[in-house]
Amino acid sequence: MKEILKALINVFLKMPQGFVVTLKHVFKKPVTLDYPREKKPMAPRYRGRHYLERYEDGTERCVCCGLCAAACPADAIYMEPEETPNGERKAKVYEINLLRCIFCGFCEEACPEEAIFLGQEYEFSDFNRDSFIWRKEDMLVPHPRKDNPFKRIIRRVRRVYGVPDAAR
Amino acid sequence: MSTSTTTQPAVKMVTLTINDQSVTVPKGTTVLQAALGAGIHIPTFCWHPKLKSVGACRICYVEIEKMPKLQVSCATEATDGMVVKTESDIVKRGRKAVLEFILANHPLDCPTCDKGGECDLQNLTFAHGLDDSRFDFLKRRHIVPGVPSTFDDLRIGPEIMLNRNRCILCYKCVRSNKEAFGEYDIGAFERGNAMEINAAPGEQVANPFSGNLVEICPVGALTNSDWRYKIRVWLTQTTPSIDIFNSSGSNILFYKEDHKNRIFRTISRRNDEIDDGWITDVARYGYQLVHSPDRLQKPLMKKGSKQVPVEWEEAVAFVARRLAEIDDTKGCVCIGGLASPTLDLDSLHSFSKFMRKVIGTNNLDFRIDYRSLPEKPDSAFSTLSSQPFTIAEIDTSDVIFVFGSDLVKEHPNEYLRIRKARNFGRPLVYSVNSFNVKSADVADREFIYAPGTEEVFINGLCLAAIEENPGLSGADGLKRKISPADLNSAAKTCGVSAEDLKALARTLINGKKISFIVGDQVSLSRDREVIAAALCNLNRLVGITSRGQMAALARYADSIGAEKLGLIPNPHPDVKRALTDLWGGFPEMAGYHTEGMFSQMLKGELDAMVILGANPVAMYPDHEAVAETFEKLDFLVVADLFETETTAMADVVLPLASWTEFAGRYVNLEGRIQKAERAIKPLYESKPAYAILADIAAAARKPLFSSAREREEEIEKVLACTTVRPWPGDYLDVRPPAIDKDPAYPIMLIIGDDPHHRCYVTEKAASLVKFCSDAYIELSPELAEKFKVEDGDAVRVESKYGKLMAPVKVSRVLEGDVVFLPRNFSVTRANSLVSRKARIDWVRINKVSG
Amino acid sequence: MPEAKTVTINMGPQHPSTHGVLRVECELDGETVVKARPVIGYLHTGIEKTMESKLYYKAIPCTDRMDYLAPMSNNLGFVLAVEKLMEIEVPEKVKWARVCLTELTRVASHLVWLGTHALDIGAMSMLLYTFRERELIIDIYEACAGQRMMSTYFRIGGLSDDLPRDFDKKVRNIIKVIPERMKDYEALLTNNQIFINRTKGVAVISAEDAINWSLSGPMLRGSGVKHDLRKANPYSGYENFDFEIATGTNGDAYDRYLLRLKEIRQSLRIAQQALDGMPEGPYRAHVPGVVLPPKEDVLHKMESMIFHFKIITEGFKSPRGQVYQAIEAPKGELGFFISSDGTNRPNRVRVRPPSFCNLAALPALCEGRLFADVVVAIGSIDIVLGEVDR
Repeated sequence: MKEILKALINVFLKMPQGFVVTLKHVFKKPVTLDYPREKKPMAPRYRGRHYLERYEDGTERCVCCGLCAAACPADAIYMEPEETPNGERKAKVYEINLLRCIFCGFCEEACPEEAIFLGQEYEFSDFNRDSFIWRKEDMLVPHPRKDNPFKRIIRRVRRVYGVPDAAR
Repeated sequence: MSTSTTTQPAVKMVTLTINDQSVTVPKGTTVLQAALGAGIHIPTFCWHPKLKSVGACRICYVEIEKMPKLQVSCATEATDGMVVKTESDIVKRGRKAVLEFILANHPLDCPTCDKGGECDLQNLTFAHGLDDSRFDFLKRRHIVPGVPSTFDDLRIGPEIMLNRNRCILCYKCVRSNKEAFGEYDIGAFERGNAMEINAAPGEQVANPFSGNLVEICPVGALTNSDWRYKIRVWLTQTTPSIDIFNSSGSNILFYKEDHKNRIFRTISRRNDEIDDGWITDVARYGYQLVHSPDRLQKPLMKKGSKQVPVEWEEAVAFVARRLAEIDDTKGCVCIGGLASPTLDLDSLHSFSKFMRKVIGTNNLDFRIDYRSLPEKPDSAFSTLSSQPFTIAEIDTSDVIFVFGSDLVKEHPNEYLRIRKARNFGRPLVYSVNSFNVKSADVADREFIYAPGTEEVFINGLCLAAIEENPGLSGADGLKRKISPADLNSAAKTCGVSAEDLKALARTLINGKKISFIVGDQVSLSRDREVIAAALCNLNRLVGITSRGQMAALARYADSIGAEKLGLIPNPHPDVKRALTDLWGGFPEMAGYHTEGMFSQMLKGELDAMVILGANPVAMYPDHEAVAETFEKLDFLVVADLFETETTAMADVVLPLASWTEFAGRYVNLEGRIQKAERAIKPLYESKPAYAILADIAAAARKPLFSSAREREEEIEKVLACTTVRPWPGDYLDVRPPAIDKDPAYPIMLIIGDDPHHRCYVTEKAASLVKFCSDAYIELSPELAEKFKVEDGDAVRVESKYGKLMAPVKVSRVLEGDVVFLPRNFSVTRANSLVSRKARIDWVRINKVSG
Repeated sequence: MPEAKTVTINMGPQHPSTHGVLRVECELDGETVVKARPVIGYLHTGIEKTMESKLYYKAIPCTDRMDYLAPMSNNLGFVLAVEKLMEIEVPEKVKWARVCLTELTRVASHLVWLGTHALDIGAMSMLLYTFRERELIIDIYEACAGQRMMSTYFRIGGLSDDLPRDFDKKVRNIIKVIPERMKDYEALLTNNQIFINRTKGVAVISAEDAINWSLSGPMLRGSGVKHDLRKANPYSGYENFDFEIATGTNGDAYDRYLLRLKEIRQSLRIAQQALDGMPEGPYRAHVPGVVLPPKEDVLHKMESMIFHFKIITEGFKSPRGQVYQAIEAPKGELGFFISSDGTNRPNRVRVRPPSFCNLAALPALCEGRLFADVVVAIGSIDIVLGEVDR
């Protein structure tokens, strides 16, 4: 008798508590997104695809110092420097293997020229493995990032001069 | 420093305390050296173990009790009872302050600077400095006018770039250039904040040791194009190796990258016994020829009139078959072989066994560019060249006698040694030559004898010695054997005054420790037997080797090794015995040496040649005759790195692996066996010479060695034999042969290596070509004036045997009717001007108008 | 041929309720498990060896990938171990931020556990609800570190960047929202007879056995042992926080469920305290030669440039020695042992992963029980195979 009573309590009192919860959710707005059509805005610090920046005058900021490659825990970055006709240093080859990349952002942290940063994009799928090896040209594209916190002190000649007072 | 201590025999010792550790050092030692000797590290920028201290950088501060302020340890002499602290708080603060000052004007160049990662300034700042800067203002900048770059790099030499912003003014470059190399093409200019290092006005930093300046620069102020913007240092691996362009065998270190299978640069690997850490530019940039696009990539075989690429198997089988055919039809007497003395011991011994055991001939030699070779097996010259010589002994010699050698070009390491001996001791240095040489700047006196009178000069020296000290034994016996037999006529013939001869003889008699260096003017002379005999007489009379050393120095990286392995038709009897024991036999025929093989070829009695890494058509005297000789061959197989004049005539050309591509051992001029490790995998399809020979022998079904171990053991056994030949038991006849001179050809021609080149291969090294890209006629200012030519004007040089054209370079060294022509360039082959028969090469020159 | 008494069945490695690629070899006598043997190694990635080949700072991303449901806790364990080795004292703000974030990580981890465990037993909607809440915490990761799962936010000597501006607001929102939602979970499960029948008295382990099996975390506390490293051996400033160690009594799966719910509440309590008391200050310690100098200085100060360059390329030399640092990860005691030979890379790294040690007790939990209970046992242990196999 006691058993039957207990079972009845369960069926009519306790179990419906759960049903109420699920029923309640029927009337709530869904929290999911209709993904390919709707996209979630990523946080400002999101570490997505790589970009290489240029100076205002269009020259590449990257001098191929190798610090990003040295910092990369996945050894995804390969670079070869070369000398420009006027004797400056720039990257001849700059490749990131996105299949190896773990998007840890160490390259951005290591870059002493503020040349590389990770943007917001995260959709990389392709049918071909080779297309995951990104060359310099793939990354030296216009990018949506507006404000580099260090922009005011990055000037082409600051390497030699230090920071001009005007830029402080 | 070892030199300063050993030249002053009675050294007083002082005892001081460094960091509670008691250290005893000879008086005169600096506190820094005392500390380093005791294993206590003190940071330094401007100090270099092989240079004098200046105390410019002040990072080596130490605290010394009873001294009011911090002292720079590199310029403070250790005294008895001194109490030194190297790690006290005040010292650490001092270091931080010094670093802060050094960095105050240092540009933020680490990302672009090739020194990044191996920079002394980075390392010491990281270890001892602050990580924050208080000097946050505009930095001093040396702008290079007319260059759009913001990098401010200034090219001050064919290879060297200077960035004055990065310079910390340690003066190491200027000091080493001056002290160690005797060059003055770089200096410090201006004063105070504007002070800068720069090339001397109107000069290029292009001396043959200039690469060392880059190596010792503690920051990235001096860099070279060789390493510039190629790879980061932390991505490279290192391999110890040996410089094979030089018979001293300087120790070097290759920086290579395994995945790319590429060497990126060479730096020195200091070995105080040999090189003191200084290497020549040839050693530094010579590796570039390994990566030259001109390397032979596949075996080539002549099919019809053209050489076409074939597979190894085909080429090897063909060589084996052809050699067997010639052996069968004409006998093994008709096969000869030449091996380069820059090959490693394994290859040389394989070659010896291949020729003697597999083919059965005794026609083999390694002397690829000697003018004339002795017929006799135990010649006076063999005696002279087999004498032991130790480079480090030069340091402590009090008389250094350089006879017939332009050391900078022939033996640069010994040149630097003599300079070092002069810096740290007081030796008397004499340079004796038939023309003025650059290396004479290290000598106290330079003597010029008349061309072709080497033996007369030495005879004169003997006679002068007898006059100085009549008690010398056997003086009468000597006088009977030489002519002229009186001092004055000898002096007159050789053009050195009797007084000078006497003075020289006196120093030779009185010298406590003598280093007597005999160079290429003797080694390559037609009459070197006579000159060597005269030198034997001198030694017997004066007793040079009882108080020092005297030797005709080996000319190539493994010449001594080849000699010791018996790569000549008549090896040393001990070597011959050892080889007979090992192989159970030795060819009975006498065999021909290089010269003999060539004349047999000309007669049509030698039909096949095997040549390893040599280019006799371009390097052996008398280009046309040699080319004609080689055309008579039935079968020529050449293994080399590049296509050369000789490979062009070959039936089979095999790509040879360079010394960087396999581990090999080399015997330097002291007899020191050194190993060059394998830096990279063989490029293209090239193979080491020993592997090629093993393949051919295997194809002929006569395997050379059952294992590498067997080869090693054979080499060990052969090397164990001594090849030092005893001095002759009596005075030798020295009768100067007549010197042929045609008044139509009044100028003496000297052929040798450019200071930035060696042999025929270095013109494939891009950096070395930057220093010197083509042959030139170096002539004395007098001659330039006489012919009204200036630098760059073309002149025609004519001898009885040939003529060629080359631009003029007015010499700063040569005087009189002498011209110098480098032999390293394929466009202008110097050997076309000279004959094997002549003692002196006489030429005439005329200006080419237009 | 003698009649076979028992049947051996492989559960996994591809089985939805083995939480990855665990394989359990079960020997069954009818419905009863005679023997259960966990077989692991299908997700072995050599993380320990990889870490040994890397500079210290480059090993941090490796730790993310062990227990990928609690990346911040893993980071914290390794970073604390290295800081202990290098004798680095981090700023107060860093400690508090780390505590706040690792407690949120515990909440996230427990939420995933709750969802998947309930799913294993048959409660489908729990998974949807808990993942919805976890998303809030993942958003915090993204705002802080820039990555939603492999955060790599903690650095040796601090954080990779300062806490984002809206961190406080977002976390307070979580602290407010989650307890409310937890009422729903309890309504769904706590009194649910099916759930109770499936979990109560199932996968029982006594306190003594738990200690003997070297269990830790909820597995240990569920049996009534009041042991928590945050109290027993406080690290990263846990001694400053006021919270209770939740314990169970019976040591069965149901108790562990209740316990984890309690832990979520306690964690939120700690996060609340961390937010309230968050001190101002730098987000990185100033340790020249070990911790990167501020990026802005690197761009215009030579000394900072040199230190930045050297730390990136060569790392720092650690003193010779050995350290062991354990933290109370969501799943139990997560320990990092580092042996240093004085170079810039660890000579040996050994991880004491809680999942691995807890999983070892699986036979003890299910032998003699019904085969269907194996799923409950695995679920209640809360394993992540990335951590088990490393």
